[in-house]
Amino acid sequence: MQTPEELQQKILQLVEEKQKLESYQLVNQLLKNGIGLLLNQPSTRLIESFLEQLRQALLVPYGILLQHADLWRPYAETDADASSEVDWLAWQPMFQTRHRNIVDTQLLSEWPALSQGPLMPFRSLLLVPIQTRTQQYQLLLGHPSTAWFSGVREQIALQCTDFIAALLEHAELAALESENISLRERQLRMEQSLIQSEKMASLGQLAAGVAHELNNPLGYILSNITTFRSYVESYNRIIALYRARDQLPVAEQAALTEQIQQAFAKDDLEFMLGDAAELISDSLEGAMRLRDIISSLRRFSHPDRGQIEELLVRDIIESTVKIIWSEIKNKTTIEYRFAQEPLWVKANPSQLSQVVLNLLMNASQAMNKPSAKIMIETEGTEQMVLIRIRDNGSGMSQALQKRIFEPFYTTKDVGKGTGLGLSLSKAIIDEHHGQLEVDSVLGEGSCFTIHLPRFVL
Amino acid sequence: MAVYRTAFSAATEPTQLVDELCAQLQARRPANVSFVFAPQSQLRLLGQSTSLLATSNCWIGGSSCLAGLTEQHLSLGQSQVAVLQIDDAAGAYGVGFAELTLEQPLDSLIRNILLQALEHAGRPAERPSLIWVCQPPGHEEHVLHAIQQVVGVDVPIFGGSSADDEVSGLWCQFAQGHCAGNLFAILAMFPSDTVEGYFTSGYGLAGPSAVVTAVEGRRLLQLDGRPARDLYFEWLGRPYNPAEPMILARCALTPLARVVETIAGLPILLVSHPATQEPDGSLTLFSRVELGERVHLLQTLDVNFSQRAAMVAATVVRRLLGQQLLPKAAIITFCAGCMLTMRSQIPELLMCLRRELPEVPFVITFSFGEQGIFADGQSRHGNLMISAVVFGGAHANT
Repeated sequence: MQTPEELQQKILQLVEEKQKLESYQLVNQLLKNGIGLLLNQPSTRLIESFLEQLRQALLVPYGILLQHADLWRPYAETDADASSEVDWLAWQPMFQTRHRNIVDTQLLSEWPALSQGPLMPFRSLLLVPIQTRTQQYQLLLGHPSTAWFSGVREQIALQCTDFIAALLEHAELAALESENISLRERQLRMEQSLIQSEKMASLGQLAAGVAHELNNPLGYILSNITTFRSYVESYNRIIALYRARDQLPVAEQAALTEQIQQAFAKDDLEFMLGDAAELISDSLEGAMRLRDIISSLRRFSHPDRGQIEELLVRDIIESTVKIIWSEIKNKTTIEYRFAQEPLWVKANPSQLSQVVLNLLMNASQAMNKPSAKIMIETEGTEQMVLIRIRDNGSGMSQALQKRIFEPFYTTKDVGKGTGLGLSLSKAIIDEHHGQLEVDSVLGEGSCFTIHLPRFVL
Repeated sequence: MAVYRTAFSAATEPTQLVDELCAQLQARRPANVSFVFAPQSQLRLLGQSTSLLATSNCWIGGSSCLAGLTEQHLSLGQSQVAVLQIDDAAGAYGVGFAELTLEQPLDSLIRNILLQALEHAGRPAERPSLIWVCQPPGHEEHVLHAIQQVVGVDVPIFGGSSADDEVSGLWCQFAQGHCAGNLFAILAMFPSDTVEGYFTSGYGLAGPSAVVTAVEGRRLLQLDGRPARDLYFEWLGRPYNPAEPMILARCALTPLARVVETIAGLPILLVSHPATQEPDGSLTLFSRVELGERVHLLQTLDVNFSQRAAMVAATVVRRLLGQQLLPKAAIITFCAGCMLTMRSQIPELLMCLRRELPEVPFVITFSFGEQGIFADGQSRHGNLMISAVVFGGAHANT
C-alpha cells in the first residue's frame, strides 16, 4: 500500500502532467487552426492568419515574421505595415541561429537604437529563427510586460515554429511553381522565336536558290506570253484581212485572198496554231509550279501559332523538297520510297517541314561527289510513322553523333550555320511526342529517322 | 552534448587537495562550470589555486555541513570536498557575485549580480533555464524576490544556503576564487541538456496549528496571541529548557510549516525550522513567516530521509524519462539539520541515490536552507527540505 507521501508525490506528478497536457492542448488547437487555414485560406494570407492565431494564443499585442534576403524585411505581421519605420538593419545582431527569450529590453544596451515603431513599448521579446530549405526567417513577438514569455509560452511558440516552417515552405513551393510556369511559358516563347529565326535563316540560305527557282518558270512564262502575243497579232491581221475580203463582192476578193495566203505563208500560221497550244500548256505548268513553290514557302515561313493539323507525310516531304530543290538539285539526286499506304500524323505543318528541310540541307551539305544521293523513305507501323532521310555522304564519328543535337554545336565554318538546326529539330520532334535518331558510319553516310505517333483517320 | 564529471578529496593540506581535485578534473579545455561543496575550512583553501580555477570558466559553491559528497562516496567522512563539473560546449553559463555591504541594499546587489551572471554567460537580458544561488542563511526570501523581479516568477531558482558544522556563522560562499561569509553568488544556466528540479520536505501535518499574531522577520513572537515558544513546546508535549537556547537539532523532526498552496486537496508545505528559543518567548526560524499566516506543527512521515531523498531524485528522473531523456548528472541539496539527526543513515542515503541514479555523477550538499521549485511552479525558500536538480539528455553521460 502506498504511503501518504508517495500518494502526494503521485498527485503532484499528475497535476504537473495535467498542466503540460493543457499546454499541449493549446498547441494542438493552434495547429488544428493552422491546418484549417491551410485548407481554406489563399496562400498569400496563410502566414498572416496563423501569426494572428499565435498572437492571440500567447496574448501578445504584436507579432512579425521577417525574411532574410540580403537584408531582413517584413514578410508577415499581425498589424499590417506597422513596422514600416523600423530599421531592420539595426536589428541584424539580434537575430541569431538560436531562439532568444528577452526578459527585459531595458537591460539591452542596444535597445534605444532598436526601439522603433510598434516595438517601442515592448519589455519582453521572443525571437525564434525559422529555417526552410531555401530561406531564413525570424519570428518576433513582443509584450509590454517584463518576463512575459514564461517557459510555457516559450515552448508553445517553439512548438509552432515547425508548423510555420511548413506553411512557409508551402508558400515558397507555390511561388516556385508559379515562377516555373512563367519560365516555361517564356521558354516556349523563346523556342518559338528560335524556331522562327532558324526558319528564316534557312530561308535566307535558300533565298538565292528559291529566287532562281521562281525566276525560271517566270522567265519562260513571260517568253511564252510574249510569243503568244505576236501570234495573236498575226491572227488579228489575218482575221482583219478575212473580214475586209468578206465585205467585198466576190469579183473583187481575189486581191485580198492573195494577201491572206501570203500572210499565212509569211507568219507560218500552221506552226503558230500548233505552237500556241504548247505555249499555253507550258505556261500553265510554269504558273502552277510557281504557285506550289510560293505556297510551300508561305506555309514554311508562316509564323507558328502552334496549330496542329492532320498531315499526310508525303505531302509535307514533297512540299519541302520543292522549297529546297533549287539548292540541292545540282548536288544530289533524290530517290523516294514512300510507303504504299497513306501515312498520317498530327503535327504542326510548319515545324515538321522545318525538320525535314534541316535534315535535307544537312544531307546535301555532307555530300560532295558525283554519286551523291539522298533517299527519302517512309514507313508505317501500327503505332508509328517513320521518315528516313539517308545520304551517302561523309558520315559521322560516334563522338560527333553524340553531340550533334547540342544547341549551337556545329561542324560548319563560322557564319555558315547557327548550330541550332538539329537541336531545334529534335526539340520539335520531342514536342510532338516523337523521336529523332541518327545512325551514321564515318565515310559511308548517315541516316536520320523521324519517329512520330501515327494518326489513323 | 554535455559531459559531467565529479571529483572529491578529503585532503586538508592545500597542495594535496588541489592536486587530487585537478587530477580528477583533467580536460583538454576549461569546462563551463564547476559546483563545489565542502566544509568551510577547505572551501577557503581553494580560492588560492589558479591551477584548479583554470579547469572551469565558472566556479560556484558554498560551505556544506561536515562535508560535500559525490556518488563515489560510501559514507560521510570528515572534510570532504565534492565537485561537479559540467563541460557543455553548446550551452552557456555565467556567474556573478558580490559581497553584501552596508552601502548597497540587498535588492540592488542581487539584481546587479544576476545581470553580471547573464552578461558573463553571453546572454544579457535573456531568460535562463535555471538559476543557482549560493548565499548565507538569513536573506533567502529577499534574494528570491529580487531575482524574480528581473527574470519573472517561473524561472526555476535552486540552491542551498551555506552551512557550517555547528551553526556558528562560519559558513562561506565561493565564486570564481573568491570566498567570503557575506558573499552572494548567482549562476545563470543555459544548458544544452534539459534540466529539471524538484523540492519537497519529508514531513506531514501533525495536527496542531495556530495563527501568527506577532512576528519580526524570522523571529516568531506570538502564535494565537501567546508566546510562540510556549505554544510550540506545548504541542511537542515537553518543556523547554531555558539553558539551551539552541534547539535546532532537537526540533529537526518537529518543525513548523505554512501551507503555501493546496493542489488537489493536498497541502504544499513550506517548512520553517526553529533554530533558537529566546528568553522573551519567541522562536527564531531559518525562514520567514508572515503575520496572519497559519503555521502548523509537522511530523516526519513513515519514509525515512534516505528514501525520501531518493524519491525526490526519482520524481525528477521520471519527469526526464517522460521526455525520452536519460539522467546525466544531479545536484542534491539536503537539509543539514535533517542530516545531523540521521547521520548514521548517510550510507543508506548514498545507496538509495545510486539506485535511482545508476552510473550518474552527483554531488550532495548539506545546507541551512533550501531553495527550489514546488509543483505549483513557484520557487521558494524553505527549511528541512530536500531538492534534486537533474540534468538529462538523449544520451547517457560518457
